[in-house]
Amino acid sequence: MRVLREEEKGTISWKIKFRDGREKNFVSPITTQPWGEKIPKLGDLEVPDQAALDSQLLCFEPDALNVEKGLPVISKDKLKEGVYY
Amino acid sequence: MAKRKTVWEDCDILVVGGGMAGTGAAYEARYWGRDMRIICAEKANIDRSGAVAQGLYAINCYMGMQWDENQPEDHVRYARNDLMGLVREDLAFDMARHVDSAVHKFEEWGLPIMRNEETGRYQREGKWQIMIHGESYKPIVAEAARKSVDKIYNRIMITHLLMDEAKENRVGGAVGFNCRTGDYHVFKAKAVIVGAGGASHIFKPRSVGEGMGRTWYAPWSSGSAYALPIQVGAKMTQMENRIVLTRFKDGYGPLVLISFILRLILKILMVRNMSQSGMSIPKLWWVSTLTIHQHQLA
Repeated sequence: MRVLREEEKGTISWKIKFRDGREKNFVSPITTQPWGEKIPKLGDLEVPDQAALDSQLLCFEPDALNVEKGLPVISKDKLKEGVYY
Repeated sequence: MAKRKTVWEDCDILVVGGGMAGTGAAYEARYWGRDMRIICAEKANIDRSGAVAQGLYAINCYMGMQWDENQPEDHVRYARNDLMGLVREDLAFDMARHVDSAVHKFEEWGLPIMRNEETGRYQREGKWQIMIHGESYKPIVAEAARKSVDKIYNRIMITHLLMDEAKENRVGGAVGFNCRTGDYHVFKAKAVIVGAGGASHIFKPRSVGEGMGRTWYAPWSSGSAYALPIQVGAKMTQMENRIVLTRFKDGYGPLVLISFILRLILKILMVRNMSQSGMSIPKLWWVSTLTIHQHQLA
């Protein structure tokens, strides 16, 4: 038995040969995209402005959240502090 | 003793550790600091380092806000209950509200996430988990980091943070050594992100036989994420919970996504705060997430 990991094909596969002659093949995806191509080169994007830097958003938010309301917020008085139920 | 070289490096942002936290932080740091010099130092090789090295079969925390499956408030309630009240709700909320966008990015980059054939949504394995084909989870994220940083230093074990002589109570870099050559490395940086590992083997389970001395969490986690900041006076919070794992697995860590996400958020906040207001690491609260989230996912 050996494992074959192929980034070009995006798969990892095993072939098992039993002593009685049976063979089994397993294959599993490791990626759905051409290797590394869908990762943007962030250095090429425009430098974010001060308002963006000051915001609470992380990279590509709010779009990447895929929700209409944007990044959820909560008011401080709703949060509990310390140990009680 | 043979003479060893000393290697110097100057940068704007130094990321200590190239696991899921470190590589993710390096990517996020580049998103906000596009013209900065960003360096990542890792004790192994970022392609297969950290607790996700061997891959994972699930992402253990996904809200599913886009389908209204869970909202951040639900996760806060769950964490508070699970930890018997010992929880910083603001941190739990913040982690929860950002997790979905990270998962969406992983899928965009190529991570195969299973779908429920009937609903078309991500396949759930539990209330919080979604199922993935995760053999290359780490290499995919490492690729994102490699594209984002100016230089990756593999095989460098960072042992100490350096304080800035010119500015009081401010971290100015880090030192470490090359695990293969023994060369000494000095990194000078305007900001340091600690994305190093949590600790296993501090509290040993009483397993016998095959399980003796083994742990469920990645055994190569040396606890440097705690040690580095403590040495320079950082305050640690949320360390009240610890978990002693009475069973073992194969040395992989199914809890890491969470740990990664929360650390990433916190560390990025640090970087952003530091670069904007000149605050230093010891002044910012230091949160270690590992024990809590291990608990949540166990």
